[in-house]
Amino acid sequence: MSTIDLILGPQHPAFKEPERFLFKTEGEIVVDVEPRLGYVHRGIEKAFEMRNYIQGLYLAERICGICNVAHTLCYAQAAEEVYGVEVPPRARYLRAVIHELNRIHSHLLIIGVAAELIGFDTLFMLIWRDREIVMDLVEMMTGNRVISAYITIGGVRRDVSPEFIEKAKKMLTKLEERVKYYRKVWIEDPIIRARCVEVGKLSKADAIKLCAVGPTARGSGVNYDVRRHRPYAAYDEIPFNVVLREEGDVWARVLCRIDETLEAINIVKYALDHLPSGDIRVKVPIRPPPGEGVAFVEAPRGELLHHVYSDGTDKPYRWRVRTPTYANIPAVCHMFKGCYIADIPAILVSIDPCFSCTDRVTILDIRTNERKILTWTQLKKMFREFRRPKA
Amino acid sequence: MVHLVEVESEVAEYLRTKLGDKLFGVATPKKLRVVVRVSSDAVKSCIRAIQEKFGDVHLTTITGCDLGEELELTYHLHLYANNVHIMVKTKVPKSEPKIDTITDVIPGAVLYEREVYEMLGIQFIGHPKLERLFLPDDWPEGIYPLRKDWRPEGLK
Amino acid sequence: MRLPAIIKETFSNLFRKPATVKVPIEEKLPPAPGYRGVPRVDYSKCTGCGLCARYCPSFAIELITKDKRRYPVFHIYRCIFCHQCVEVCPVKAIKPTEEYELSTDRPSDLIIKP
Ligand code: SF4
Ligand code: SF4
Repeated sequence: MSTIDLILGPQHPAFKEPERFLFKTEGEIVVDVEPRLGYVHRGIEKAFEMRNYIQGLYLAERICGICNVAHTLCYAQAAEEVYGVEVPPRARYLRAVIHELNRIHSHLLIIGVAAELIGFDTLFMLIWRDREIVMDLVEMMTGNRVISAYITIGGVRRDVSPEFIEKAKKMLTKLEERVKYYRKVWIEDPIIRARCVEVGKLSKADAIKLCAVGPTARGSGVNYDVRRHRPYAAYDEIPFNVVLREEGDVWARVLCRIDETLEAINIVKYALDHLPSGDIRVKVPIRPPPGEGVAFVEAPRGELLHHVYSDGTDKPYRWRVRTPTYANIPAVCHMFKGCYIADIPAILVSIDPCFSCTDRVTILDIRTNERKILTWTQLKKMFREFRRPKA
Repeated sequence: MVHLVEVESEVAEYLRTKLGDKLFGVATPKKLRVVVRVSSDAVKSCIRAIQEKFGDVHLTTITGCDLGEELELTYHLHLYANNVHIMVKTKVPKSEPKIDTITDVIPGAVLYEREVYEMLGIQFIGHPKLERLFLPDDWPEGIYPLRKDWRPEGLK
Repeated sequence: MRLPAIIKETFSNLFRKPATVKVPIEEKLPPAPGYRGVPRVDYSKCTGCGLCARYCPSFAIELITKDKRRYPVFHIYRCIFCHQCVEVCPVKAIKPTEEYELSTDRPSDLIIKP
């Protein structure tokens, strides 16, 4: 059978890292895939070299709006290693709180999007309605719903009040109930099971070989969570479980995120209950000593790395960022092999690549040389109406 | 739980015996971190040796940095067995930026090597598909944006 | 066959109030206390030290010289509302506000000058 090239993108899924995927298909089956990245490469690594450390903090926050806390936390930790400062205990706990609130919001977002992509708009709307609870909490705590600007080099920028703690615990209990309900829906619903189970398989050996990270790897049973295995902030003192699933399909990866949301709610509650008293930040000078700093953080999408070289001036000499979606690209390319065209969106969303909705697909049929351009909506429609042939 | 300091010195000691004079230095600056400096032809054998002894290795990324006359590469490895973060550092001269690929030992390195290639101009010998990854197709040949001699236009 | 769990939830939502608010026609949601809005500078306190301009991450603050003194000019259309300037000002001349409705048909409204 002749192969057909199917191009997805470039105005495609990730708004942080939009990609163009060239799928080689045989009939309905994808046989090979080739990614082309960098359509919105903004040169942030070079831009860091032209800003001082404090200005860079806000630039790091804008690498990804959804997991902005993970980026500022990682940035601050890398810078703190260069400065050689210790963060006060209260700030370490507050960092864990905001980091987990950010994780809840990011996970609920992607669970909703995953539901929408399999045609389950009701679930999508309900999850996004309940996500407002955590957005309100973040606004109360930091002063903005999304971009929190909360973490700074040497600590955090605001303290929390006892009233906030009371309110947060009440709201989180409400959210926990809702998330437990969505977990039940995700596990039991026949439509979800039909669309997601056994789709986009990634075995444990492949996940390790292709260096997958985060829930993508944990959905395949790879036991690696930076919070547990190389603790930062207050994670060495907070009890929590690393969520692992063995199935390695789309369904397991999303379920992994739902369970992590529940864990995150518990972490926030525990941290708020055990908040130490004391300072929330130490001041740092504008110039750090020369040196090198590396920091790892478990962002909602997986392991995140910031690596800085300082030469003793007020600007970093080199700043390296490795975002989690980038690390998962080889793994997702592997998942595509052997899948149906109509499963592409579900597989892509299961690595949580920050979906935007303005995508187009070109289908080029080599045999008839006919070119069809599908919008994202059409592809979604095709995906929703697709019926898997009985094996 | 294993005593942490022992884990790091175990890794350091093992690499010292394994690599011999290809090794320029080992340091353990922090808990759960080992920094190894090796010559540029020993990176692959270093990673192989680590894999033989400690099992599965996760490559977080490859950092490239322009140090003036030389380009420094840092391979960030995570050992699943004992959670040690190993930074394998090596230097290649700017006049002849060439190094062996590690994609045959860690297939996940494909994209990272392509990125270092286009941003800093290091040739990875034996890489299956050494092409542009992030930069636009009409980016001029031979200009590497993360080298220090390149400045974006219009900026002071 | 058992009914999927979502069915009950869907029907109970038919009888609930909408979760959304028609802003600004019906209601306006006040931001939470401490919301980061436009920074407003009090020029009578400002000493012209220039620290705010040095730290502003989006280069929204420009220093101008007027009557032999330096003043910061805030280009609010570039501001990202991080309140770094509020934090660094040594004499607390910059006051945080909770204003967030900034659309205007006069661009000059978005420049704060002495
Ligand atoms: S709030 Fe931030 S972006 Fe706005 S003027 Fe102040 S420092 Fe600049
Ligand atoms: S930091 Fe404060 S005192 Fe200094 S120039 Fe800015 S507003 Fe004026």
